[in-house]
Amino acid sequence: MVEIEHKIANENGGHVRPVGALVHEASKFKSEIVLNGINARKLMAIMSLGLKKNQEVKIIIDGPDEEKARMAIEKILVNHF
Amino acid sequence: MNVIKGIGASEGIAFGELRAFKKDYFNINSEKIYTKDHEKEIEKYKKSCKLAMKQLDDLYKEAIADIGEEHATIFQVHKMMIEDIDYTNSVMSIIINENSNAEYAVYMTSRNFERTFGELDNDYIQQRASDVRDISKRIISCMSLSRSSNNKNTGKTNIIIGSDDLTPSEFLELDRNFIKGFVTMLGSKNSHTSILARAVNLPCVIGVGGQLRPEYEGYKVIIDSFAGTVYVSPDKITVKRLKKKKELCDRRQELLSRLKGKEDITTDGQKIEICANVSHISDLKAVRECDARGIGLFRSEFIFMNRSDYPTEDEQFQIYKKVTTKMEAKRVVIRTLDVGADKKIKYFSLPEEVNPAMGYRGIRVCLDRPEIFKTQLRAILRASMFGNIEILFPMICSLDEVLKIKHILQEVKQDLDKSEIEYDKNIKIGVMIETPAAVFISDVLAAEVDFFSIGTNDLVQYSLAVDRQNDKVNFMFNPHHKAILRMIKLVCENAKKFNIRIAVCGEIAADESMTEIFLVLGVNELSVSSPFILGIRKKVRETNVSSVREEILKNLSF
Repeated sequence: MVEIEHKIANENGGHVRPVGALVHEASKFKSEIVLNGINARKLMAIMSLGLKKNQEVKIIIDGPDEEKARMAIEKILVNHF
Repeated sequence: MNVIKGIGASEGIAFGELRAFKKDYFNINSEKIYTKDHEKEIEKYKKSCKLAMKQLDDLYKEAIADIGEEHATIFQVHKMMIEDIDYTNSVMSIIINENSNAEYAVYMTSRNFERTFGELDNDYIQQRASDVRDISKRIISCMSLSRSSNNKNTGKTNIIIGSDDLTPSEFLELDRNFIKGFVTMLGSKNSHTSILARAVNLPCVIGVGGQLRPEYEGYKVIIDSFAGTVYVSPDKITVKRLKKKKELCDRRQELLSRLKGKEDITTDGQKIEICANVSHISDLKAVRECDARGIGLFRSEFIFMNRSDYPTEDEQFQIYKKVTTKMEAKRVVIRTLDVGADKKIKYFSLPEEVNPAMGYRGIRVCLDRPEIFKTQLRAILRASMFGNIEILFPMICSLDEVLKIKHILQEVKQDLDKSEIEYDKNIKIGVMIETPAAVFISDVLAAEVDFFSIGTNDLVQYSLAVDRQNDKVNFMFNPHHKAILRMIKLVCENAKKFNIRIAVCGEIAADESMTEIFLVLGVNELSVSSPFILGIRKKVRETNVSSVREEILKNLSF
């Protein structure tokens, strides 16, 4: 199991496009990926978190390809969040 | 005449006849029908989702051509929403648990999600309710196979659409050959429809609430989305005033579209780069819209203003990184902190001075308080890894200052090396030429730096001994004074001698009557506020340098 902590730096961090990119990426892996307790494959559920700038998010990744997933998700976080 | 006030979510003015947007929304086939044939309903739902996905694919492709890839992404996201597991599960469970038809299940699911989003205290996410409604409506209309398309125009009149709200799909349905703008009762600047309207420059006023009344249907209206105002059956004076405003706006728009992507080059082939001055992070949008070659002057002061304490290295780094990333590979010239004189920041506790223009300001403050200076340099250097950054130092009067700056910069670089933090090792540095002293030692300075940037406001003030804030003498503040032009000429000659770049970034750079002179003197870059970029580009593209060279040089000679 690996964890990522990230503070949303981007003004548009919780917006549809970044969230869409995250969900899209999360769907590529076998591992369980959970963002603030919500399955990161669920677009609507992640959107309804109403993420905002300066908010802390914690992502827990657990499964066979967790390292790969961590790298991919981190990239999305840096670029979009 | 009735005046309706709302939010102008895009820019522009439109004239037309008000027409209500015909919606199929949920009125068709969304009432509950009792059925025990769950399988059939689920099958119907799945089939219509497939069809909806296909429609979205097509719309996406269309939209790329229509409004650009960035904005078209919304339809990709719509596809993801349709595939969302919570959404699908909700529809299925309503079909099964409530023995209902698929249409009703989608309708109820949509309502529930709309409510969830609507309750969040985040305006942006609240607006996503309309995206949910959009996909739900699409799925339902795919079930009934009866797409209404009564929003294509038949006549030749210009039309302004009035509606409670418009979803992104509905927006794309609008036939923009006839539909010149829209007014909605709901909506916010953040809604996708507003974003789309801005992308295609369609004037709109949104969020007008109950002011938009059904009986206005068919009335002549004018939308002024600069002012967020709609005029219903406007009087003659209003029509005249807005026609004029529209003309100006159209002309600007036309210039924009004609000159975007064009080179900054004279008729006889001399090139110059027209860049943007940036005073705040929010200026970036305009910088890109006006097609600047880069940022010629990034006034870093704003990062220090409107706060109670110094910004940290990391805060600064994030801003510089954002700017340079947004500008892609284009050059971003960051001017280090220039406080003092008329720019006061409380927590710096700068002393009251009798003659602040001649006092503790600009680079003098930075050299006197090296910790502030070093923090900024570290942040800039770190950000230099993300694009093409150069550093500009203000208020230089002597070689000694430049040597001190270079020494401090070297220290900061060594610190970064020690901590193994990466930065652009060949980062270019330049100085502002804004004091007469800098002008007359510009040959000495040119040997030490990579570029010059002439700041005319201070240069004029110091050279002509005129305080612009002083009503009694400000009429003498004349950037066209021969003394100033001769100084600029000297600086350009010295820059050429040492083969370094020469830029002009003061207000005078945006003065079209000066463009020919700058071209003749061989200025490489003009940095102006974004709204002036395309005007100056036009001027450059109409100039023939060789035909004006002789006369201009004659006027400037001793």
